[in-house]
Amino acid sequence: MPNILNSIILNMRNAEPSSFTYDAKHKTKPLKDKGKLLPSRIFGTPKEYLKDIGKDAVNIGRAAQGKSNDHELGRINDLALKLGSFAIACYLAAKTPSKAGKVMEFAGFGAFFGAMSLWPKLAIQLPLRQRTGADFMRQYVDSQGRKKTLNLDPQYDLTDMLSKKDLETAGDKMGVNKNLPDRDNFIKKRIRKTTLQANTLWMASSGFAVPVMAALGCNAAEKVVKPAVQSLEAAAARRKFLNTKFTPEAAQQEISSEMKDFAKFIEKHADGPASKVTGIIADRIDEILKETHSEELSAPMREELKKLSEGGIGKDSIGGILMRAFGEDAVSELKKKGKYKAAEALSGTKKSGADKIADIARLISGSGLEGLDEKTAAAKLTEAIAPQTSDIKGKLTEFFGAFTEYGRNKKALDAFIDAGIGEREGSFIAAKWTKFSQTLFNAMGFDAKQTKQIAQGAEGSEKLITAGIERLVSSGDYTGVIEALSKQLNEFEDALSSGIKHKDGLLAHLEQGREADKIFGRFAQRLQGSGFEGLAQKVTGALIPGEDAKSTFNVSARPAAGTLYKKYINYAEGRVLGARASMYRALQALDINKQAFDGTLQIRMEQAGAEKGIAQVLADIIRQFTLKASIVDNDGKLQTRPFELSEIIETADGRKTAGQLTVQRSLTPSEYKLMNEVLYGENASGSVENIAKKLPANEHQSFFKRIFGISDNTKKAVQNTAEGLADYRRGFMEHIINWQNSVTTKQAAYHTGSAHPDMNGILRHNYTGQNMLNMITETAKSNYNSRKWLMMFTGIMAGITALTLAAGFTFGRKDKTEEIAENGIRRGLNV
Amino acid sequence: MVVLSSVNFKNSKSMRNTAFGRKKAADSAPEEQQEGAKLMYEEKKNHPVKTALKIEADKLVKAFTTYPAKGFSGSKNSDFYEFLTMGIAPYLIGSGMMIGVFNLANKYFDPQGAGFASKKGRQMAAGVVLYGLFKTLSKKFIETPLNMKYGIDVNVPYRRKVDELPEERNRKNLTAYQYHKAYESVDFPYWDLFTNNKSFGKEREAYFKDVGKRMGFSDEELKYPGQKVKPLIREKLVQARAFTSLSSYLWGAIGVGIAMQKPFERFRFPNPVNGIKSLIEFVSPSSIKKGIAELKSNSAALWRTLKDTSSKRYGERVLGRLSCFIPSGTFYNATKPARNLLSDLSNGFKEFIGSDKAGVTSRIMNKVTHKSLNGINKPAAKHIAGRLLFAAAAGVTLLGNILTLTDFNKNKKDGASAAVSLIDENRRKEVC
Repeated sequence: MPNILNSIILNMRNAEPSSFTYDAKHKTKPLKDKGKLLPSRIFGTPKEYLKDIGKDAVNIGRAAQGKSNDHELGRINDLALKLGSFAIACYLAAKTPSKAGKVMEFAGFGAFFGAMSLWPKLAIQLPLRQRTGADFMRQYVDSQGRKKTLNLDPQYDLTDMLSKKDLETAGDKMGVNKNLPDRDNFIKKRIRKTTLQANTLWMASSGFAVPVMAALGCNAAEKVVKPAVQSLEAAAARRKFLNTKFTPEAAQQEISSEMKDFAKFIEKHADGPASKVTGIIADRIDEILKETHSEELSAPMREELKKLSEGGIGKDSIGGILMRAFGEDAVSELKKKGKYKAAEALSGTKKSGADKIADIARLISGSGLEGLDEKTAAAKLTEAIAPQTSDIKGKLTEFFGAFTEYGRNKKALDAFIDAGIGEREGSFIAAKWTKFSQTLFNAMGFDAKQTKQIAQGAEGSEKLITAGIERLVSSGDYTGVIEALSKQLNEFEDALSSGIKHKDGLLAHLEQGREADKIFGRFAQRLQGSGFEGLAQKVTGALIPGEDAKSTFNVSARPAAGTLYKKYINYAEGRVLGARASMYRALQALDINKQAFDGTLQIRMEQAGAEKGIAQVLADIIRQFTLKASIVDNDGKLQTRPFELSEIIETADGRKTAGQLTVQRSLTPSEYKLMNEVLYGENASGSVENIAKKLPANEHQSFFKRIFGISDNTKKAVQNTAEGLADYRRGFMEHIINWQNSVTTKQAAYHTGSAHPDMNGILRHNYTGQNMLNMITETAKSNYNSRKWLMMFTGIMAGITALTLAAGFTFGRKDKTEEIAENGIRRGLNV
Repeated sequence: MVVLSSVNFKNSKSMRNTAFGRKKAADSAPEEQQEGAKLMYEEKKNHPVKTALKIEADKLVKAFTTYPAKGFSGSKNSDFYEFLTMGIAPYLIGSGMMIGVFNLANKYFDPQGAGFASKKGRQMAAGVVLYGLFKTLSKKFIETPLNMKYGIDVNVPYRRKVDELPEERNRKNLTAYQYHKAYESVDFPYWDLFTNNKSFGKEREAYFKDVGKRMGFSDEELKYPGQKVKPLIREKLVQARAFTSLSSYLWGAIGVGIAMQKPFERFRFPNPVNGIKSLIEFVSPSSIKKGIAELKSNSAALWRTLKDTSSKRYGERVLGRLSCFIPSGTFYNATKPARNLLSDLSNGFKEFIGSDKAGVTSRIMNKVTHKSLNGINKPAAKHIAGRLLFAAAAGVTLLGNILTLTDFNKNKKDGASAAVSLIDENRRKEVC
């Protein structure tokens, strides 16, 4: 310091006088004012936004060097917040299985930051600026080019930067007395006060508002985003699947790098024991199995690999191996010494090939044969089994090839099937189901209160649904609703069905000679080719002798029950069948209800010979049956005979009560007899029990055919799907009504690949579908839940917004000094 | 020249204004300074938890009471510190609302719907909690090593006495206290608090000398320790601040990721009522009575064992008897939530990065499997994402550590530029 001062003083002494004159060009002068006030606005421009991002990137570099200032560090913090949140969105997207879900995670991220920046602008800045002219988020750029907010710090007053015009506007809006001396000062004071209050309100309100606002935004976005992404996803999976070439050559090309990798691995461990190789492969195979949902092959596969890992040393082969390794003499020597039997025993153990070799080598070196220590014995043994080892390696290579090909093909198939019928939100079937049930539910016109009652299963909720159905069938909308539903069903069949009409539906791809057939068939063939016949059987089933004396698989044959392929088909068919049956069933229930409402159902009963009163009861029973009958909770509910004859009991007054489950009304014996005649035809005679026993199954069927006839009206409306409807009804008749008699073994085996009674139950379940009562209740639940949530948080949001806006109205009032000044003017004083 | 300009700055009142409302007592004498702003270095050193609790409690209470009241009334005493302190309100309320959005409506749903929703809701609640926890704790990863190596405590607090302006006629108590951090601004670190501070030693610039020595300067180089060390401290502050920001949000994200795993589907907030209940139970008359009876019988048994000196394994038996005196039941219940949370955390983390017993560890152990067959033993996408996130957080933290703990610029700086803190490079060029 002293040095510098000294030199300055010296300089001053020596300096020419002219150097002290002011030279604007070279000497110290005030900095040029680069700062400027930005216009009052709600949103910045995109260009500015991009520029800011660029600045932030540079800032991080400066921060790493330790050069940043407070402003830049603040910006880095904001950037870090966004990056961290984006990282959360990325992680959650990676975790969410469905594409729509992934998109929604990013939508959530956007919604949150959107809400964070929009809330103060919309709820505070905009209304307050409108009312008072004070803009608490007004920005300026300082001399260093840093963008800052004008009124963030109440003690660092920059209100002077506001133009006269800004002040005048604000003053007029806030009603500052025009005659006040030094009016601008009072206006500035008010602006300062207002902005401080607004800042406080921002801090106080945004905690409440932002999460709710973001959630509501997400909820709204979900309704648009989800269906769009789902349909895109399904289309993409389908396209990818159809473009996949299921030839071995194509697969070979695609997996070549993996195969190369594997070949290298085999080469590297060519000298090692087979057990190591197979062990590692077993590791890999589990991964592929998991990825391709074929885990059930794991156990048989490990079994096969274990056999391989024994490396060809067994009780049967040990003799030959010893001969090759040590020669005839040595073997006879061993036999003499009794070691041959021991070697045989060792080769028969469950140990791996390498261990066996070691054991036998130890045994032989211990037997005192000349020139055979443990090491040489082991080497000779290894050499002797070399032919087997190389065979194993060849087998493994082929085995691995089969698996990689299968894995690659199956993955494409799985993606396609999953997008169509996956048991998850967002699959095609789930979306269609939701749409169908919502259309049905909305057509019944329940209000919020009724929806709540139905959702909560309150007393009388069944009546509410019945009333809703009656409302629908009696209204003029009926045909329109049926048409809408049948249109949806048509789309459903188009996308999922197989058959003459829908050649390209999802299930069609699982049929004979199509893609899935090729995938599984090819896999089985290759497995068989590499000697894993047991495994191959687990994949597609039956072996038939081929032309070249070797067995090959009959790829085009229907896969056998219990195989991997068959189970795959069953799963897919079951999913489609269940959804389809429920939808058709809803149509039929509507139709029967319509007929009952119009009276045509009763007339049909009367035509069949029932008295008027009985016809009414019958119609009622049938109506109830279509609505309620279910197999879900109790098989007993879905009786083939609505009047379970054995359950007829005599009441105290001599009347008979029929079928507690279905008929709520007492009948006289004569009434009952007539009903039986209507139901079961001419055969009904004799005692009640006898009739029940005598009735053959086909009588039940004819009864149902008679009573479940579809009306011409509905038939016309569902013309497009008539084929499907007929199909459904046939299935319903055959598999539900006759389940006690015929479906048990033969048909169940056909459809499920197993005659197991449980499988039969699943089949019946799928054919029955969900009854309409349940469908409506489920829909009501989901609607009630979303509505409840929406109402709750819309209410909260409205409350927060109202409070915030109301608080804004109290801001910017005049203070005491202004009042005093105003009073002064009023009194004619010049304050 | 540079020195002069910085001196100029220190005397310029208009520039001092830019300290965002912090009225610094830079011009006043040291004693007054200590009264106006007191560095809480020793308090923090001696009672770290107590001091932190005291400061945070003060801020928390005022953020919800005094400061909003002043702000809403448009008080002329409101300042930027109060605005920043109020920033905790949206943080806490927002966290609560976030949990609420996913949980409040669930109880109205049907059992099945409520079941699904509450699983998600609990995970979200855990996510909010772990986000905050991880974010806060992770800052220590960078701050603690820095403090340990150089003695630069980024968070060292100071208490500021504020003399407020009277707004009402009869208001007598015009003194308020604020808790700042000496290093909260990198543009204006509160150097004066460290100068002439007896906590660091008798010398005037003992603190800077100490930091300088830790940085590896010789006594010769540290003739003017303040000039030498201040710019370097400032550099460290910038690096620490920037990289704690960048890394802490990533750690927060990991907290959310862990909360989204299965163990947290059953997450519950530890119920304070239950804790109090079990405490009451513990000291209730019946429990005490039972406890006394137990004590008696235990004492009698202990006495019997002690007397029986001839028995085998004497010491073991005595220890066994003694262990009976450890209270059981309610005592253990109280710590159960903490134990559960810890196990959930560790399981959640394993799921998050996709490690299990037979997974990552064994693959790393068995290099053959891992290396020669890479490509098929693929972890799921979520595991890769989890690992990437973890790597990013750890990487940024590590980078922060490297930058803050290494003196890249030690030899480049000379004492002359020491006092420059505010003036930007380009500005300096223009001035000089």
